[in-house]
Amino acid sequence: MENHQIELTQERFDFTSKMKNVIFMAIAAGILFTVLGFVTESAEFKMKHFWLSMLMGAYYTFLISLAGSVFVGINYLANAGWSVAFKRVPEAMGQYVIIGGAALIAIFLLGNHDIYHWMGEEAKNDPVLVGKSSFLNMGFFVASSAIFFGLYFFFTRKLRALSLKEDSIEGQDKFGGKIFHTCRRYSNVFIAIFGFTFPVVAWEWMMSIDPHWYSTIYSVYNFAILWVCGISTMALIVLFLKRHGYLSIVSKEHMHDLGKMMFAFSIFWTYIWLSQYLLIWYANIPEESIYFTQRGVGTATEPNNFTLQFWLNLGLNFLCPLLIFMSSTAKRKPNVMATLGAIILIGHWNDLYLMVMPGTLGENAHIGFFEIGATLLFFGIFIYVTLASLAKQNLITMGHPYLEESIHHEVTP
Amino acid sequence: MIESHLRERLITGDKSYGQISEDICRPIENPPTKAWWAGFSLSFVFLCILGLSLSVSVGIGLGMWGINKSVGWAWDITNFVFWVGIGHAGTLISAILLLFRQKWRMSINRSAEAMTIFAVMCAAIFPVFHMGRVWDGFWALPLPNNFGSLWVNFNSPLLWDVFAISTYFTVSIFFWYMGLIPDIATVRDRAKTKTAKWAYNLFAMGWNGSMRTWMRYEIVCLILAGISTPLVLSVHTIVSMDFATSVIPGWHTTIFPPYFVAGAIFSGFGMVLTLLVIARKVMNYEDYITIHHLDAMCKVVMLTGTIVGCAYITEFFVAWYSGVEYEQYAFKNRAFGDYWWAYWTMMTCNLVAPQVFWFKKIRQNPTIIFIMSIIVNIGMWFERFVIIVTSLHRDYIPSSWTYYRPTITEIGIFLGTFGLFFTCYFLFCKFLPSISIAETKAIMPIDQLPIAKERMKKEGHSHH
Repeated sequence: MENHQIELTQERFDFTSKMKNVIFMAIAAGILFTVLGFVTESAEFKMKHFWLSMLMGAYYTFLISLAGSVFVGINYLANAGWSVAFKRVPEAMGQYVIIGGAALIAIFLLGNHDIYHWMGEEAKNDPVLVGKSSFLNMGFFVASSAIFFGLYFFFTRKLRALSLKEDSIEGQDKFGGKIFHTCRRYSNVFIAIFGFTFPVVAWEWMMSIDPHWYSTIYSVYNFAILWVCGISTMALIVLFLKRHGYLSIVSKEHMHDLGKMMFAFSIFWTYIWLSQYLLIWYANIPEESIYFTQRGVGTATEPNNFTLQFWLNLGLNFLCPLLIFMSSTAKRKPNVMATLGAIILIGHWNDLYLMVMPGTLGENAHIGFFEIGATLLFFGIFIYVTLASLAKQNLITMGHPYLEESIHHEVTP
Repeated sequence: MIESHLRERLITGDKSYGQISEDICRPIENPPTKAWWAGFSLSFVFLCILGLSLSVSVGIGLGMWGINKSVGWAWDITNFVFWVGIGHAGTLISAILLLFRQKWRMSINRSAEAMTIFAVMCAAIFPVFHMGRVWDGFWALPLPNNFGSLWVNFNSPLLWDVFAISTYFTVSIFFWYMGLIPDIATVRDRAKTKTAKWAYNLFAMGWNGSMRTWMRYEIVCLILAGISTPLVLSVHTIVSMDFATSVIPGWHTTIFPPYFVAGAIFSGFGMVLTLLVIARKVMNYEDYITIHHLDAMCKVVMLTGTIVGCAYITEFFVAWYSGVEYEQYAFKNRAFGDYWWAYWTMMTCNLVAPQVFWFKKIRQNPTIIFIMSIIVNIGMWFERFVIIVTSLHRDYIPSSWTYYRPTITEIGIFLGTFGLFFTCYFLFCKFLPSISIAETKAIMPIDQLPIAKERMKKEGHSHH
């Protein structure tokens, strides 16, 4: 066999002050919008609106960041080689997990009464909520979240540390795959822990906003959002890096596969959405169907203030990916992918809005300064942390045994 | 295409292209072995039991079954779901693993697809015979309204089942047959007797191996894979909706669609392992279905088993969390009621047992894998039994509470479907290549290709 050794030159991302300034401006704008929110909002729902917006921003970025760690883990688990060329990107995304997690816990500690109905005084006289109190209580909520987020962060750091070590002893370990196998073992444990703890995170942080309502698929639904948004963000960051001249080893073939995943998991999200909606609609049990009645279905003659967003949810998250990414040539065009990535991220922002706001604010919800401010703030921090940690070490995982496979990756049937 | 040295070889034993055809065609071209006759005869006996039990069910009536006023669905639908689930591994391997570019699927997809078809045939028996008057079975189709005032209920997931499964069956057969055509042509070209030549020639449909035929073949396969993927998900989704659209506690739960799909893949891989652990040994296919293939399948079993287990825990938790007392009772009753043994069998076989596959040694031990695959099959059968019977036998009114036990006729039908399944499988192994010859050749390890060997010879290396 001929030796197809490619001359690889290591790259390092330069986090320029220009980029930093743009991010700082976004964060500053986020803070400004939040202040404007405090000035303009009516006093009655101000605090509720503020805390719900913060929760939404923090949870959204937390999900996307966690998707980075899970992506790294799942690729080890599946023994996948194609994604190694841009492995540093999901690794870097995961570094924000602890910040997002800490922000969430801080939001809970400070704003729980405004966000969660079950934390209020009236919950003590509500027999249904009293029945749930051994799960929905402050102690368990904070302790379990802290442990879970800590575990996610531990595995994120561990996998990254091992990957960096793998790079430093390039040459020898590459052929033994010793560190690679250690990574696989950590990933196995990580994904198992993630699989069993993430549902609890989804129940606690999201489902309990509507504390009387329940749905068994809810945790899968949250996972679907995590995954599709994580993949889309990853694709956007890779495109950004390529536009600035980095990651030349990431070819159209890799982008094509990322595109396939954006497409496939948008359909997966729709499948989960439909499973939940169809079954609740069909059985028409009032305790369950109230969820969708509140969220825009209303009655045919009386749409409520979420009706537009209800349909937008399906349009942005299902129809757009379906129609735009059905063709395989579209998946290979950077501009189309960037557009669709943005659509998916906006679409699931809307999706989360429908999960978070109606339960507590109901008819008083409206998209205002608070939501935009919180989103800018948390996305600003997330992007900053991700790019900063990308800049901290080499962009190419030189020591990874599947690097060469990935460089020669080709999309074949 | 470059492959890391850390990856396992998909074909072992330093084969040449000629040897691959030779090895795979051997069982077809030689007279059947004693083991084959023994297996086939036993299966045929069970097939006769199927005939007998169904005749009794039709001749005397459904009174021969153990269903009663509260448990109107039990054995039949349990087995229906069981068999449909088993069929899913075939489509998963041929379509979804294709999309994920998992090349190890090449040597197992043929028999898994065959299994799909036989399993769906077994599954179809149950709803059709539950109709009682099987000769009116075609009324399940939305035919023009000439038979009276009956018109199918388009709102019913049971009707969706009719559409989903008949489509699934049709596409699976096409997919399977398409893949077979080049291989049937290979068998035709090698055939020695006149009858064999004639028969394989007929089914090879004029395949001549030209560029043109391969191009058509590839396009059709791609389209069929594209259709199969949503189809395989839709089938078990709709099967789950047979239950989940109702308002029966324990049935109406939103996680059912993805959880049923995961369970179907789990049970399907269980059955694939049961068959292949034996087949690779008896038919000398160990160089094609290597220990690493078994290893990979065990991982899928463990993953899907754990997903299913996670769904059990989710259901149980949310039943408590919901605060709905009927829901809470349904789950308490499952775990500690009259059918507690079925529930704990299910939990042990599906969630606990597959965890042994964390260990590589166990994933590569065919004996343990075989035992585990049987455990998985048992567990998944009990899953359906638990869901169906425990939710029905406790009605809202305690005066309607009953206990269900199967009659000998029902047991006969169930055992008989195994007869049908294995009779078909044995015939398939005898008359058709049970590993895809053409596709296996496409995944030949790079250093085993003729060109590589030639070069090595030139360079004076001796190959290992």
